[in-house]
Amino acid sequence: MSSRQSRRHFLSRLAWISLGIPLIGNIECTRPQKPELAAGLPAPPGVRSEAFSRIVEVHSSRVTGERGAVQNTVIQKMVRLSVEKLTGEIGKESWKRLFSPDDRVAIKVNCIAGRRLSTHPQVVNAIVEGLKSAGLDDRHIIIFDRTTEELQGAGFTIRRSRDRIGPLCFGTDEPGIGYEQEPVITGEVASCLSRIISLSTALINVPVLKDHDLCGISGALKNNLGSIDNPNKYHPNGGNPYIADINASAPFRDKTRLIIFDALEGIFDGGPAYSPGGIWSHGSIMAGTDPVALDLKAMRIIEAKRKEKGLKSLKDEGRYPHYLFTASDSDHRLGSIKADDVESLEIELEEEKI
Amino acid sequence: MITRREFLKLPVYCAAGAAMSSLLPAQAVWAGTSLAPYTREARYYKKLPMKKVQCLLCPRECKVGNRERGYCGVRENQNGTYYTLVYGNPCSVHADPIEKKPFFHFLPGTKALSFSTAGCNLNCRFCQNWEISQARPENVKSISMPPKEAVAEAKRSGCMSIIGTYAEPIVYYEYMLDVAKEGKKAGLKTAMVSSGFIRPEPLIELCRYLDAVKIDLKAFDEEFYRRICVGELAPVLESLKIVAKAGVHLEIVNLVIPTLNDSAVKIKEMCEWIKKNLGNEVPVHFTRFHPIYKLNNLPGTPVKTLKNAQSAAMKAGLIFAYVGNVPGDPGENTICPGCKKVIIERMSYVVTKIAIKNGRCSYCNRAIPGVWS
Repeated sequence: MSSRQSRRHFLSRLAWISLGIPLIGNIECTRPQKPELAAGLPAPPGVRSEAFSRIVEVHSSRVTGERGAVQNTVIQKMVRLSVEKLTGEIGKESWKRLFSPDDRVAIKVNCIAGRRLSTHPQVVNAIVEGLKSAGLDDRHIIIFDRTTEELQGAGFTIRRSRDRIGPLCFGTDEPGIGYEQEPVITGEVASCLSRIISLSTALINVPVLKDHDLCGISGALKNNLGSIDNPNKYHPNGGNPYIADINASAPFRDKTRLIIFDALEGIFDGGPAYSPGGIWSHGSIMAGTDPVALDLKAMRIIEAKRKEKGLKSLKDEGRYPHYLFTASDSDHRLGSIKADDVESLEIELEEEKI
Repeated sequence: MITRREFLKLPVYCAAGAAMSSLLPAQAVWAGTSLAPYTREARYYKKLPMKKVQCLLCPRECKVGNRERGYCGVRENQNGTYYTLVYGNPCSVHADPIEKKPFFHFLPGTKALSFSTAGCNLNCRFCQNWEISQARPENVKSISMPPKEAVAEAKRSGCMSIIGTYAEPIVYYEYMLDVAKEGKKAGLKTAMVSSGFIRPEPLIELCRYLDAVKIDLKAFDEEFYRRICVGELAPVLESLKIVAKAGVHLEIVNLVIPTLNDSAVKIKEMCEWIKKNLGNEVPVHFTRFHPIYKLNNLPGTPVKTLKNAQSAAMKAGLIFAYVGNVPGDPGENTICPGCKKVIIERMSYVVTKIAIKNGRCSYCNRAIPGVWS
């Protein structure tokens, strides 16, 4: 571990102080380190060295109660198990494989569709517990989306620096946050990133399983559009190649350490907004570090549901998510599109000894 | 209503602009603005099943899901109703010399209250105003300025006209339309500086309340529009015809960018099209590109290239062809086609001589097209 820190890192830490995040230990001592990856463990996008990845789907038939309320303890088990299966480690060691105590972690949720079709706060709570088990102080964790109002609407408790307890939770629109002044240019569109991304050392992407009326599906890759100032510029041509382009920019590529796909509920038609007729209870949490492989799996789940409901396929509707293929090409290298390159584990929680 | 604080800010912005950029500074950390006071139901859209809408304002015809926005970023679907989010909410307001637009045949030597909200329906790689044109309204510093207040401010600051400009008036269509209506009532001239990337119906309606339109004809090349601007040429050409047919004073600007749209052949084709479809008296400005935004890799346009374009336009039969963004160049002056004398002399944005009376050359009495009073 380096005993010196770069000017950029020093400024980053000062910025976190300005957000009200206390620093642990001596400011001179450490630079956040990406944990070393053991052989066989799929690497996060920023450090991918081999075209192989692992994704995990943990399903539970008991995660949703009789009235549709999600069961907190079941969710905690699902998230924990998904990360354990992903990393091959047990308990806190599984989180330590991905995060170090010096990290500043931003958790990007998806709240645009309101309380009934957003990232569940319980899923995020389980993630926070995992991070804390890896030694992170909860003040080093920010849960965020585009706006504070949308987070509130999805059931998240807003916490600012003055609240002093728990992980921070607010939108990029919070006074004093906003977007960077200089745009990131990757491909055709230039965008200014949320300062929350800039000020973080690690990103956890927590998308929702959604059909998208223009781009086919809204998953891990598309969720990052909620971290830029002009997502409206990314929708022409079904998002291809724009969604792949922005995800290939250094901040997203280098900082994304983990994707936890909230697939407890999904929408197979009429998304990405809440549309009662298209919602179903899927009952899964999916984990991985490969956004392409996870999005491809999400697309297959949605397509299967559409077929079951007698709907046309996304391809037949002219909104097949071609951007997934672009994301996997040699220019973008964001993940694996070929089934042979992906180890896909499917686990039934109730059948697992935990 | 404009607040006292906002009212007091306004003249400050205007005065400060004399020495600095006309744009209010883009705020890196500006956030948290409520758009509710500036939200009005949009015009020109249709409702679709499942709370979706389709915008019919510009040729993109965005289909927009609930809680999503169109490509412009300033029009939003809220539960199946489409709204503009920027009505009366400009992020840039300034009393500019009219020459800055540039308008050369429209009230020369006067000031125009120039305004813009955030947002644009194109994404030009060379945009000079990208900080606001590519931003969402909640991410730029804005003020409250309803149409009547805008007109009142124009009068207070001695402007003879009020002009939607900077980013793209098309995307704040409802605001532009009402400002134009109020401006006409108050005796101001009204104008718009636009890409012309708009559908015919809304443009025809807007033209009823405008005295002048300047359209950026960015290139005479569909591929350029598609690749460099994320737009299309054909609708822009249609818009030019509509403005000309409506009898609204029209000027055209062509920003000449080295290697991208400076082909002599294409410039000649463009001038011939203008002459054939819009007439030979439409003022055409060939302006100089400066490296900016996503085109920082290209050099500024050589003045010789602009001169060549001006000559090509003259050879094609266009009478009023200018060079722009070259302060002090004689190519910015207006020459009477009758007696060949300089009838408007310009030094950058300053008019140093006007020899036009009642719309005619003071020397030879030749009618000069334009809006002069």
